[in-house]
Amino acid sequence: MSDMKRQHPFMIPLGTIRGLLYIIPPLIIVLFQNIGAEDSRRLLIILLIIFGSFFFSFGYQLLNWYFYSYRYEDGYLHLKTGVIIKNERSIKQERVQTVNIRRGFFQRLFGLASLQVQTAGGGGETEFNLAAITLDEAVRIKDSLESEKEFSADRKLETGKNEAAFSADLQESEKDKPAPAAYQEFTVSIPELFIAGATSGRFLVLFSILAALSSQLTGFLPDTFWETLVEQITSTALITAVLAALVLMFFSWLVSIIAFVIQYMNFTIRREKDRLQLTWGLIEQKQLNLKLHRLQSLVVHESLLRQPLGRSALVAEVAGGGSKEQSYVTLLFPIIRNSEINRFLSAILPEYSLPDNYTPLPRRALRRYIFRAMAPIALLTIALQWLPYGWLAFFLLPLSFFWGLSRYRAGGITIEDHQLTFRFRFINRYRAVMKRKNIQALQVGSNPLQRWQNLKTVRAWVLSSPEEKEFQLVDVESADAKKLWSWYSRYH
Amino acid sequence: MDKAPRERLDPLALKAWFYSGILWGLALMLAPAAYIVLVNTILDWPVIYGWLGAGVVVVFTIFAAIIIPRLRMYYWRYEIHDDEIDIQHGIIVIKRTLIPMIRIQHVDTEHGPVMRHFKLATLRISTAATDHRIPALAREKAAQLRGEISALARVSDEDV
Repeated sequence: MSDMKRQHPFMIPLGTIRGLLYIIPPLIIVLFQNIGAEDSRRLLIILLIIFGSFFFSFGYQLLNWYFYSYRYEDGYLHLKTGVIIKNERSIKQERVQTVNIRRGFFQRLFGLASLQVQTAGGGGETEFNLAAITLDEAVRIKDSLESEKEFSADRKLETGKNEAAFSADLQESEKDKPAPAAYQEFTVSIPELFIAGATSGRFLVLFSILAALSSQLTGFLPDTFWETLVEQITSTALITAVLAALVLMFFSWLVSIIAFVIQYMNFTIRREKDRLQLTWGLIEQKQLNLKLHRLQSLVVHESLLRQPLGRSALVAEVAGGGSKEQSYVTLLFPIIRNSEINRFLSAILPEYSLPDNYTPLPRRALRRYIFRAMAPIALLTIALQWLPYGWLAFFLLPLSFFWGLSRYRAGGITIEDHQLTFRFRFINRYRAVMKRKNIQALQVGSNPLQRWQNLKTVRAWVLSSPEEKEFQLVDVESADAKKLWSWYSRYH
Repeated sequence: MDKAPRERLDPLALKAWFYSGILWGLALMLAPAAYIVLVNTILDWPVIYGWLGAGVVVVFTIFAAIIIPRLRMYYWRYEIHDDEIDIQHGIIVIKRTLIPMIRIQHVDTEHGPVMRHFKLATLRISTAATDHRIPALAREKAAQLRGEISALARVSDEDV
């Protein structure tokens, strides 16, 4: 590829100067800190540092310039980079999200510009930068990269980084079931909201903060606290301490319920043709508009506390920048009865449905689940025998047994036409519903023991933010893994 | 899924991995070597730890240069269909990965100094959510696949 072009050589001095700018502030600090120190050697050292860094910066920029070449031709931007590790990349025009031309003061002076091209994609670097090329060249590349993009006008409106990934999905999703005719909405009722608050588990966070604070206030340091505890184990002080903790816990529980209710008061989800509109909050009204094609999977989140009450929260994996207020987890509905979920979905999200039946994990997986749950706890229990009251750890063993058992029982998989559902538990139980078109890649793996027992671990990736989300199910029957594979493959 | 993917990596990969394993081993050997030298000159610590460290590095090097490359080579397969890429890889845990063409965002090739010496390159395939690598392909082969996959990814885009 002899017709690869380099950037304008002017980027070398430009980059060198820019690199030196990073060195000057620390140098100034060094200078001022040592003011009054008499020796002239310091000046020499500083000069050496300046020249040294100039030399390195210049060399770095020179190599960078020399080993960075590009070429644009029919729909592809080719790039070659790397001094030691060589990288070659071809960027397709359709994958290009935005092209920006920027011109700084020096660049204007010399008729140059820098060009930034952003592409969609989570894995690798998502943008590249031509630091100095002639303005004409920049305009030419920008025009040709953008020329065939009229069809994706709405793509430019949304600045989400992964938007290009959905242009294909958009068309596919139109073939799915149509949106409900009338706009429908669901609002969470106040009693339900109180239940949600009471089972949110947030009080544990608050409690630990309060407990830490109060132990500070009473002057207990952790180790002295334990000493007192052991010394006074028989006295009434222990009962007082336990009571105080209980009161504190109850108090933080109440506070967290109220905080939750205020935060999610009037939580309403509304379906409009191709988007979901979410509003919530009593004091601070918040609103979130979610274009449907950004939805990558639906997760029914059944927390341990809510499970006995038969209720779950509905959460979505959303691509291209979940809102910051919701700290990237997009809550679709804070609490819902499990029996209501399908009614909710048919009114709000008819594209998704929650399956009733799951293919369970095979019996022989049970032993593996229980072993995985109990082995670390058993080791811990043995290790704890050297401590006083270490025998208490034996109570953890049956607990971990039931944990393994319930993780095994939760495991399940359902394959439907265009939809895959994994049911699994870590502590809480999840049901992750994925559309085939939203699964970015599928993996079936096995370790030697699994191969011997004809079991597989299956993994599916969907787009999410801030990074991709991986759903995994361990110890699936080989035949079921194969079914999943041929469901996803276009060849079987 | 019963049939493993057809293509294997370039046989030169074994050599390249052997050399990079040896290079890693030599680099790591510097630590116990320095320890032994120090013990013999300045420090008064037991010398046995130095020899133990050296032993560990030797074992590591045997694994990194000989055993692991062979296992890797044995299991590594890939096949590029018109609509999807099928990859099998692993050393102990064997994984089979399926990447539909329409999900592929970009493809690049890359190669470090050792790979360059053997005229090999790694093909990196990125979807919006994942990154997959086919290591140690002949460089022309990698470049050719990069072109093919880019073109196929584009075609399937229009097909949807």
